[in-house]
This record gives sequence, structure tokens and C-alpha cells, in this order.
Amino acid sequence: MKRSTPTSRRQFLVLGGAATAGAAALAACSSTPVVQSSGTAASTVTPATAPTTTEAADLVTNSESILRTATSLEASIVAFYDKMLAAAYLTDPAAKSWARTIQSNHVAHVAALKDLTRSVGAKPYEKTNAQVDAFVIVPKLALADKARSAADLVSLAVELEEAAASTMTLAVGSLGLPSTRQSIMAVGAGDARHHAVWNLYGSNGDLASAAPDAMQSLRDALPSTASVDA
Amino acid sequence: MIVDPPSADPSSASPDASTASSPTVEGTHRRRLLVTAGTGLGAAAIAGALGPLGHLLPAAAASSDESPEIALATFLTGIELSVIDLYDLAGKTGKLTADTTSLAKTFRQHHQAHSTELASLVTDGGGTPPTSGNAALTAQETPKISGAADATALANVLGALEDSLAATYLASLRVFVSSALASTAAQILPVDAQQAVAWSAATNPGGNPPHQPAASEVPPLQTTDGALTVASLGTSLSPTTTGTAS
Repeated sequence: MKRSTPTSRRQFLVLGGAATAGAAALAACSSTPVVQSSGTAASTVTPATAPTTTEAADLVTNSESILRTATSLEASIVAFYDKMLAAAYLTDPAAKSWARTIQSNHVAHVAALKDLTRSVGAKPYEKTNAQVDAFVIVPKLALADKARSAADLVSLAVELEEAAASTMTLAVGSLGLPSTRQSIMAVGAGDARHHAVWNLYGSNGDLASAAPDAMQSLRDALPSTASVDA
Repeated sequence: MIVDPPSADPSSASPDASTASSPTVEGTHRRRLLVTAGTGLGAAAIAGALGPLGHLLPAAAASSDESPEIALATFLTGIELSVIDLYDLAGKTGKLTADTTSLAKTFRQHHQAHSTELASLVTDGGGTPPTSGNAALTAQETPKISGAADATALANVLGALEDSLAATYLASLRVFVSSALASTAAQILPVDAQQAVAWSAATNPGGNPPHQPAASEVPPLQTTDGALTVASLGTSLSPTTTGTAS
């Protein structure tokens, strides 16, 4: 089996492109090259010497930006579920029930990520993600509203939950503290369960749709242009 | 804070209090990691820094030069191999439906991928990956699977197993220092969580739409409750080689 590529900080920073939930990874605001991960478990970063003060400061900033942007994504998803629940054409009680449950979970995610942001000494982000709102949620909601399509709402929910799970997972490779990594994945695993729920619902109960991949995909993590500190 | 409060389960230890307030703690810790990563830092020192989570590490690591991280990755590889054996056993019970037979086959493949990935990292880290499953986990779960009364009962057993795996990988993120190991654990964790949701859905074939999971399988945050630990399972391996772990 092909080994998954370790998430290097440079990859997390540089990958970008179209500002859609389906594009590449989140970038930090720093333009200073930072250390990359090698492909081995025994030596995860190079060079072997300690980073300079500038690099250490960049890493701190990156962690703050990661957590603030993750918070904004979760907040956008909370707001999306408001719209979903308000859609008159969403009539299935099961869908409404899941939307309420999952929205409540995302409210908890926002609170948890804000706590985590404070724990690393940064100021929590208090808004939704403008890029995700403008380029994904708003236009796709408009299409769903125009078609009065509950299926389109569910498809958008699937996309957003996958983006959230991918974003949290990808962030692990760039966060330094094990405790911070663990905390962000407590959120990310929750997002992954939401993704499974909506896949099951949208596929009319196809069990295999709940966990289609052996490893969490990173391809749908937030793009660089979605960073709240860019 | 997101992280579980201190409890009798050491796999759910609270975060290091020293991380709570300093604005440079994340960067400072990163600097220390960059200096020490890959240099073979003593197992005792790392285990000590982990506090209660040190018991996640195999006893052998505490007295040898083996990296604690690699020791944990080795343990997790054995766990994955055990789970593969358990899925094979589930398939032989005759209790799976057509849908769940296919599901079990797919999830077995996922766990095979997990074991292969972990084994590769163990090898890269200078360790020797196991080729058979964790004996204690196999012994623990076998009667549950063999004794499942029907398809629902079997789905519940497999779902609980996947939930414990998700908790285990979340717990491992407090131990893994290297980005490669942490990233791999982070990519496995969501899949096990999703597989738990799938097994919950499998217990509910009726309804409209069918196969909706229980709400209890969709909590706000993943926890480390029920994580598998070295302290509870040990590191002894089953006598029979499992599939291929490389």
C-alpha cells in the first residue's frame, strides 16, 4: 500500500487555489519558509538544528491561524444549518432531526476551538469564514433554494462536513503540541461522524457510504485563501 | 478545554497545565520538539513528560532504547492485525447479512491498510512490526463475536470495537511526538469513527430512510473513553500470523 505522505508544514502552507471547500490546504499568514517534515517517523523535521527565533515565531503564528480558521469554518457550518432548517422544502423529519443534532454539535465545536485558541495564547475568531460563505455556502444554498431541493441541501452538508474533517485532520501535521493535536481531532472525528450520517441519509441507507475510504482524505481541507489571517 | 478531564482511565489525561496560558507555549514546545525529534531521546524522559499517559507505552520501552512512539505504533499495529482476525471471525459466524458481509469485507480492508501504514512507520522508526494480532484483544473479543445471537448483536459488537479504536487513536495523539505518526493516527481516527457509525446504522435496517445510526453515535466530541491500552491488553501476540502487515 502506498504510504500516506506526511503532512509537511510547507505543504499545509503552500497548497492553494480555488477558494472552494474542495480545494487544497489551509495556509498561514507567514511567508517565511518553515521546516518540512521528512518521510520517516524517526526524524520528522529537518534541518536537525533548532529553528531560529523567526521560525519559532512563524510556527506559533501558524498554529494560531490554523485554530482561528478552523473555528471560522465550524461557525460557517452552524450558520448553514440555520439555513437548512429554515428551508420550507426540507420536510423529512429525519433530516431535520439530524440537522438539529449536528448543528448543536458544531456549536460545541466552535466553543471548543475557541477554548483551544485561548490555550495557545491567541485571540479566538468570532465570525464565520468569509471565503467559505461567499464561494460555497451562499451560491450552493441559492441553487438548492431555486430548485427547492432537499437533496441539494444534504449534498452541501456532506461537502461541508468532509471539508471540516479534512481540515482538522490536515491541521495535525502542522500543530506542535500533542495536546493541541488531540483536541482538534476530538472535533475532527466528530465532523467525520457527521459526514457518515449525511452520506447514509443521502444514499438512502447504503452502509458502505458511511466510511468509503481507508484513510481520512485531506484533499477537501480549506484552501489557503480561506485563512482568516491571510 | 476540549480534552477529557482527568479520570481513572489514564488514556484520557487532561492537557499539560503548562500549556494553558503562555502565548509562546506552542512555539516553545515546537522548538523543543525540533531539537529532540529523531535524536533517540530517552524513553524514560518522554514517558515522564507524558504523565499518566506513560502507561500507554509498552513496559519494554521504559527500560530499553526503543522509542516510546515506535513502541506505541507497534502496539497499534498489533491491534489492527487483531481486528483483521476478528473481522475474519465475524464473517465465519454466518450471522452477517448480505449488506453487512460486504461492509465487514470493506472495513477489514481498511484495517489492513491501517496495519500496513503503521507497520511501515514502525520499520522506518527502527522497530520490528508484528505479523500477528494482539493476543489479549483477540481473546477478549472472540467470545463476543462467536456468541453474538444475531446480526444486530454482531453489529453491536463490531461497532463497539470500532468506537474503542477511535478512542485509542485519539489517545495516541497525546503520545505521538512526530508529525508522521500523529498525522497517520489522525487519518485513521476519523475512519474508525465512521465505521462505528456504519455498524450502528446496520442495527437499524428499517425506517425511512433505512439504516440510520443511533444519535448516541454522533456525540459533539470524540473522547478517549474506552481506549485500548497496553496496561489492559499487554503486547503479547497471537500465535497465528495475520494477513500481511507490510
